Amino acid sequence: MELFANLGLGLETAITPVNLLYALVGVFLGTAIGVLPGLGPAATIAMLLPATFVMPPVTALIMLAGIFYGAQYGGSTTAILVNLPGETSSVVTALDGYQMARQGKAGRALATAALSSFFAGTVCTLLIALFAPPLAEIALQFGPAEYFSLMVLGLIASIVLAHGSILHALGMIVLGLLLGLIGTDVNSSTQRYTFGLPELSDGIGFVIVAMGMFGIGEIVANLENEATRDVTIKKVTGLFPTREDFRRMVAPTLRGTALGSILGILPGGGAALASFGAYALEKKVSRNRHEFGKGAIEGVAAPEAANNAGAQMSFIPMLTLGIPSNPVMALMIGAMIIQGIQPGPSVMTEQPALFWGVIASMWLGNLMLLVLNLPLIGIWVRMITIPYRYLYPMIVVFCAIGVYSLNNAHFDLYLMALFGVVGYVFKKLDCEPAPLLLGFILGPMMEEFLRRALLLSKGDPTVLVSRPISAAMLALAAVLLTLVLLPSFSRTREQAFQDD
Amino acid sequence: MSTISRRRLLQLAAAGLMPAAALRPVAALAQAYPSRPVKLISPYAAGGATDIIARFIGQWLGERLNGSFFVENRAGSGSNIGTEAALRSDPDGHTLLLASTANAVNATLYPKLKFDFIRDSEPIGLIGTLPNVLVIHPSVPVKTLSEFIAYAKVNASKLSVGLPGIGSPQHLSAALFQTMTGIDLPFLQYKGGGPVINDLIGGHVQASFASSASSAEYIRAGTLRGIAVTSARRLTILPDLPAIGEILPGYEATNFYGLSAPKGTPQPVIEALSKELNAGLANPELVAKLAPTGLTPHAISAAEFGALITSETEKWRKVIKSAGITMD
Repeated sequence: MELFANLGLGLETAITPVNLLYALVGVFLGTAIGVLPGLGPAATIAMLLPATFVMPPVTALIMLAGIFYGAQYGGSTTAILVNLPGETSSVVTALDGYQMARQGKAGRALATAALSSFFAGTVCTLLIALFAPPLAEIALQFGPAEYFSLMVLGLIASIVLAHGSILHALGMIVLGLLLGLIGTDVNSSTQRYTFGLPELSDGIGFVIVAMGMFGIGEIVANLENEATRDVTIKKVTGLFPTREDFRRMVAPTLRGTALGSILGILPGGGAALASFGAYALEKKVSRNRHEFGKGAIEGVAAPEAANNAGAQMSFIPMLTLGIPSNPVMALMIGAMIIQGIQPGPSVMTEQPALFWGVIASMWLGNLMLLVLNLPLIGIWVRMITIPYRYLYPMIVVFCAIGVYSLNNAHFDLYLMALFGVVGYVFKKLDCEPAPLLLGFILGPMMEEFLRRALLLSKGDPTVLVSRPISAAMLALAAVLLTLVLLPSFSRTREQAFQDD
Repeated sequence: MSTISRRRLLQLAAAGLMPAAALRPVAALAQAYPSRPVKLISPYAAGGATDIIARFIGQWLGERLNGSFFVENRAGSGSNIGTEAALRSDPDGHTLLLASTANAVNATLYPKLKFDFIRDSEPIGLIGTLPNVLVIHPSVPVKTLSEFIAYAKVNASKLSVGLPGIGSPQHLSAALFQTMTGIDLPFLQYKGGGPVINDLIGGHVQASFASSASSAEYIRAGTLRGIAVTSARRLTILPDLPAIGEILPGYEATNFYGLSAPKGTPQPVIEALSKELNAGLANPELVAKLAPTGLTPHAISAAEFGALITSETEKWRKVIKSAGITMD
């Protein structure tokens, strides 16, 4: 019953007018920057940090947390409407969400995203309230070997992301892995492919690659073809999901929430896998798997639920142990230090109002987001009816602002332009950017964890199979590889014959 | 307009082309400093200790000098990108740098830098020092520094020391420890301090040299065991922990944070900043705000700060050479 006392304290804290107001400010700002391509929550929170100087600690954290999960909601909007994912997580949402938008189902896709996110958010608030400390303990059991095996599993699962040629997808994954290697080697500090440029010594940012390949590349390709430019969007049919849509989104949302919650507690990059994993899972188990990549509602519901669950659960390592699992959490820790609170295991016991207040505000914030987002759908879908001569320059400008806001470096803008060209070329070659982005994210993490695991085991590779969690995941990866590759190869062969 | 003419005046004065009396308007102009918002470059990512220190110091200087100071985070290449951007700016006092140990270290660590920190910067003052702590996972069967050294001499291969990156202050603290004890501890590098603490708490690595501010919480909670601090003296936040120097005479590895400007910044501006910075470090309210970052404030003159940078650069040059740390 301690839980109710704690949640009561949390609600009491979160529901004061000033905290409610700042939660609203946070989720509203988060939605806004999520919708704008390129601008992310990290840059926004960094900019707003001075504003929190004058706020009480719990109010400051409630607002910053609101920006973070508000951006997760907003990020799916541009992914669905204009195929422009601003966050790692919305890369997958773009796959089927954008196809739905092209079929005139943009409103239904957006509503699906909002509803499944809200469901995941509610479940995760409860999970955090009930199990935060034991979950953090479990996450600590994950060593480098376990993380490596998890990444292998994720990478194998990602092969199903592609709906075209398997060979192209594999090529793009490998290219992504290689791009991810650019920068300074952690163990030896050797510079890889940096060409003497200090700007490349920390690697290339995800947003730069995503904005270049999806944003700029897509625009260039669309401009080229005058005929398709203005007829891509069919008439918008219905803003709200139909009963059939609801029936189809229930199971994927549940599975996505479960997967996202598990991966989200792992501070070493689990959340990045959540939406990819959920999509891959659906594509394997769904009855409508043939629709994936062509506008399947399951392909929106599952990754969106997983992504929001992962985002929410990533608060656990931060709140219970003071360990940041992403740049946004690092900023939240900074905000706590500015408030004179040293993050760590004692925050829960010494600052119960802060701990439970932030948790309770998450649920209130998710509710606000739902209320905020559902009526906005009508406005968003009108966005895609904006003539391209206005929409395209706007997208380019926002991409540029967003990319510049990351590091205040103009080098990043040139890099984005370069990836724009690369993205255009790949579009011409019929190579999809999503597998490349996944390889780009997972590659460096896999390498880091593998080398760390081997350094810790003094070079003994059996550590990967002698640790039970790691062995289980590798076994699963092997099974998946067989399942994924065999039928796909035969299917592409069939298609090739049919085309003749 | 006014900034350009002021710079021109100073160049003339510096070149000895103007009589001493003509310098007076320069001093008068310095009264107008700052004439526009001052950019304080923090060469690390937002949210970290450097960023927070910069924000508090900037806020204080803004209030005292009736101007607006804003922090710009220019992370990358181990602080070199932000440092270079600051040193390449107009030397008119409107761009400043949050300098740190990294500047003294990188002078040796990065042989291909396009700037020479000592030559191209103008010291303003020290803000304070921030030592590291030798922390271990509680499963390691030692309680004191002497026990740790004795244990490590026999069991070095059983211990892995997690560190937040090659050339980081924590890495150098560990390297100095290694050089002075002669124990060849296996180092394991991470990308930043957060993952190190995570793997240390999880017991995947057994020891670390970690920032005193973040590790103090885990030591108090009993999640990690503190062994000793890297500063010359004991710390008020961890009074039970000895300084490593008590057992290893001469050991000291403390990170410093200070304020620097591009070379050629007018002396009156440097003096004004140095005076207000030191006034802030004597102000209990500002000191209290800085406390959670783990920083121990320490006020010295601009010239003393310059001497500190030179001696730290020399000290780390020797450690880096003898430990054979390279970056290329």
